[in-house]
Parts: sequence; structure tokens; C-alpha cells
Amino acid sequence: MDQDQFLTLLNKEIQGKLTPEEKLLFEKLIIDNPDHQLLYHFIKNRQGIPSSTIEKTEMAFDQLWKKLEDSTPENIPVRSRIKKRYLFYLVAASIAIFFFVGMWRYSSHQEVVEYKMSYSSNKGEKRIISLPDGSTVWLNGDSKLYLATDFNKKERRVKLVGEGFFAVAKDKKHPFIVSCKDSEVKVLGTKFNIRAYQDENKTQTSLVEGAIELKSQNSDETYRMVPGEKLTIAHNLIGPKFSDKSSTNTIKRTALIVQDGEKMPSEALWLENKLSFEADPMNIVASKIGKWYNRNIVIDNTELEKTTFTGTMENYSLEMVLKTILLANPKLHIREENESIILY
Amino acid sequence: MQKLNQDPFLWTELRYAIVFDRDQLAFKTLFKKFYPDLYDFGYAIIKSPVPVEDIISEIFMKLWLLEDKLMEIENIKTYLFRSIRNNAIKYLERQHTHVDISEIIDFNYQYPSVEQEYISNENLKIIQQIIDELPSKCKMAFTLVKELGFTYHETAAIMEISTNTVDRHIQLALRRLRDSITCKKINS
Repeated sequence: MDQDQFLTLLNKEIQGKLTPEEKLLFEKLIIDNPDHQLLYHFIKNRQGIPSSTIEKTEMAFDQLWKKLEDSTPENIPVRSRIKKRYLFYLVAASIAIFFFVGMWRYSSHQEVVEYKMSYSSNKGEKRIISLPDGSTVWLNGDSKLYLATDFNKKERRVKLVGEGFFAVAKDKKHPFIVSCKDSEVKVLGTKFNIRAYQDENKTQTSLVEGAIELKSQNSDETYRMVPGEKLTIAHNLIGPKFSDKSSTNTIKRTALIVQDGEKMPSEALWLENKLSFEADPMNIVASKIGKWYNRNIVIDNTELEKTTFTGTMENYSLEMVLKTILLANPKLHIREENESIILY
Repeated sequence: MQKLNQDPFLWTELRYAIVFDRDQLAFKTLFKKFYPDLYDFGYAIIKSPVPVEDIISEIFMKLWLLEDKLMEIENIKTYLFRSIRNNAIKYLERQHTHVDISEIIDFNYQYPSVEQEYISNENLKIIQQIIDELPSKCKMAFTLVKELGFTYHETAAIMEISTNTVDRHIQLALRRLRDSITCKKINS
């Protein structure tokens, strides 16, 4: 009986769960019995790492690093899924260019950019992509990134549809240019987030570190951004299409806000698998949730455009997210129709 | 990296440095921190040095090339040990086709036998012998908790079993150790 009590207490001690009274009893049981003493010391003692292992570790790391250097981005086998896409886009792009190149030359001064490789993420999925120049791009759900055919020759040009966080490797000789539906961002080496989904009426560019230049398609004006800044291009919803030059839009500069206890501004928290809202109007809230959980969420009340929501959620189920938003907005209602969730 | 030097191990800082800055030093810090324990743990399953080294370098290459969702790994320690366990089992299964190795795995971890303040070398040898005779899964759970410093919860995640099962394994190991020590009177 006495002995089993010792085992129970030892098990608790390993887990750090001893109460002060139990600790006293435990210590007494150790002192009173040399067998207990031996077992306790064995359990509590952990050997340090011998120095021979440290050398071995250094060698193992050098070997690993050599292997990594040998597999430069060009040599890394591209997964077959991407290969197929690559071929498809190459064919598609060359056909498109064959037909439209003449027209483009007349209608615009812009150079024709040919994109080959594409990476894409499904709804509700996130992907990290390592680009051949050493830059890293995260794609949020339902997004696509295209690489220009001559990526890294004169410049590093990519096209983004959806949301992406860019950590661009420094290389002053090859500017990194991201184009999206209504603007272009030119950088030399920095970290920033762009949210530019086709079905949302705005494009938000958030700069975390470094410096970037943003050029809007409509105004041809260039905006220099400093870290901690966000530039929002809002489109007039009544206008025909986003890409249509006649639609009006407004450009707004705001400061990025880092919520309490977070490392990154709300705009980049999706990287840490956190669903975050920063004074987002309901249509953006609905779109974010829809893309996160791969569900169709519709707003059926124009009044809700004026309602905003702020908050960060981690590991929430869709039901919990909706409940939280309903609690914050007593006027909000919800119903399900077919496969869609309707907010009104 | 400055912060890293002050605090030897901060996973949140490290993963940002690895992913955003492609910081080799941060990557090396991570590697050095876990390599010896990962090696010993893998060796206890496979018992052959080269495949263990290959498995470790494969896991770290994946991390550096960002093939795994680095930002979604909350506990890197658990993640690494689970990867070693799973890859080691896969390796053994390739050697013996059509056998479910996870059920019959022979886990054999060598406890360092350096003279200790409270325990004589002779006693340590006897303890090692008792541990060697424990059922394999019990041995693995006990080693993860005792020698590698994992909580019961983390051990459960690595071995893909429940926390209660880990507790039962530890209870069994402790009882066997205590009974054998009392029986053999090795300290006298």
C-alpha cells in the first residue's frame, strides 16, 4: 500500500502535479526507503549531451546544407501537378499572345507580359511557395500566382489573383513587380501583403517591412509606402467592371494596426492560421469567412455595408465564427438556404 | 537573430527567421537543438546509423524548402519526433513488406551510462536491463517522458495514442522498476 502510494506520487511528480502536502509526503517516502531514493534519482536525472555529439551534429548540418545547395531551385523536381499546369498555361499563353499581341500594341503602351508557371490554392487552403529567386510567397485560399516567362532575367514579374503575403529576397538589379487586378507594386526587397480578390470591391496592400511603390491602373499616379502603412483602393460598386477604366475609385492611406498580443498586423495574421478582421465592412467579413471555410456567404441587406467588425479568431469552427459575429451585432440575422449562408 | 542569442530557443522567432529571412543561422539553431535527441530516438527504432541520418536530413530539407506548412506547426519538438517515428516505421516496413511494423516495433534506447552522483554504474546497468525487458511501446513512452523530457500530452501526440494510454505505460514502467529494484536489492 505504502509502496503503491509512492508510485502514484512519483507519477504525479513527473507531470509536475504534486500539491504542497503531497510533496512533503513524497519527500518523506524517498528519505525512508533507499529503493525509492534510487528510482527517484534515476527518473529525475538526464544526461547532458557529450561533446562528441556536438561535433557529429556540426558535421551532419554541413552535409545537409551541402545537399540543399546542390538542389538549387532549378534542380528541384517540380511536382507533376504543377508540370501539367505549366504546360497548359504555356500553350494557353502562347495562343493568346498569338491572337492579341497586335491589338495590345495599339491599345496600350504597356509591354505584353507572358506568364508561364502558375501556383494556385483551393478555397480554405493555404500554400507556401518558394520562388526561384529565394523569395517566399504565401497564398491564402482561392488564390493564384503567375510567374512571368522571363522571371529573374531583367525583372521579377508576377501576377496575383486573390491574397498573398510576399517576403521578397533583396536584389536591386532585378526589381520585383506584382501586378493585380487594378494596380502594380514595385519592390526591391521587403515584406507585404496584398488582398485583391476579383469578387471583392477593393484591393488592400499592407506593408510590413521595407519600401514599396504602388501604381494604380486608373490614375497612373505612384504612391510610395512606408512600413506600417496600408493602401486601400476602393471601387465604386455601381461602376461596371473592376478592370474597366471608366469606373471610379478612391485611394485611402491608413496605418496598420497590430492587435494586442499579436506579432503581425491583422492583415497578415492569416499566415498564422488566424482569421482576423480589422474594421471590415460586412461584405468583406462575409467574403473572408466564405473563403476560409469554403462556403458561400451572401449579404442580403445593403444596410449592413455600414456595419463593421473587428476581431481575431483561431481554431474556430464556422458555427463559432458566425455566433461571435451575431453576438457583436444584435441587428444581424442569419439563415441557411440551399448550400448558402445568408446574412440579413 | 539577436533575440535568439538571448533566448536559446524561441520557435516563433525561429520560424519567422527561417521563412521570411531565409536565415541559415536560425535553421542551424533549430537543427543543432534537436539533432542529438532525434538521432538517438531514431536509432532506437532502426538500429542502423545511415537510414536514421537520411531520415533526419530529409525532414529538415522539407522544413527549409517549406514543403510542409511551417507556420501551422505549433509544437516543433512534437512535430519532429513524430516525423522521425513515422518515417522510421515506414523505412522498416519497406524492409519487411506486408508487416505492420507499428505493432511489433522493437524499441531499444541506450540510456547514457555515465557515472552519476547518486547512482552507481552497476545499478544503472541493472536499471537498463529492466527497461530493456519492458514492452516496446511502454519503453518508447517511458523514454520520451523520462529521457527526452516530453509531457504525457506531447508523448501521446508523437506516438499517436491517447494521454491515458501514455499514463498506463508510465505506471507499468515505474512499477516494474520499483519491483525489480526491491527484489534485487541492488542498492545494498
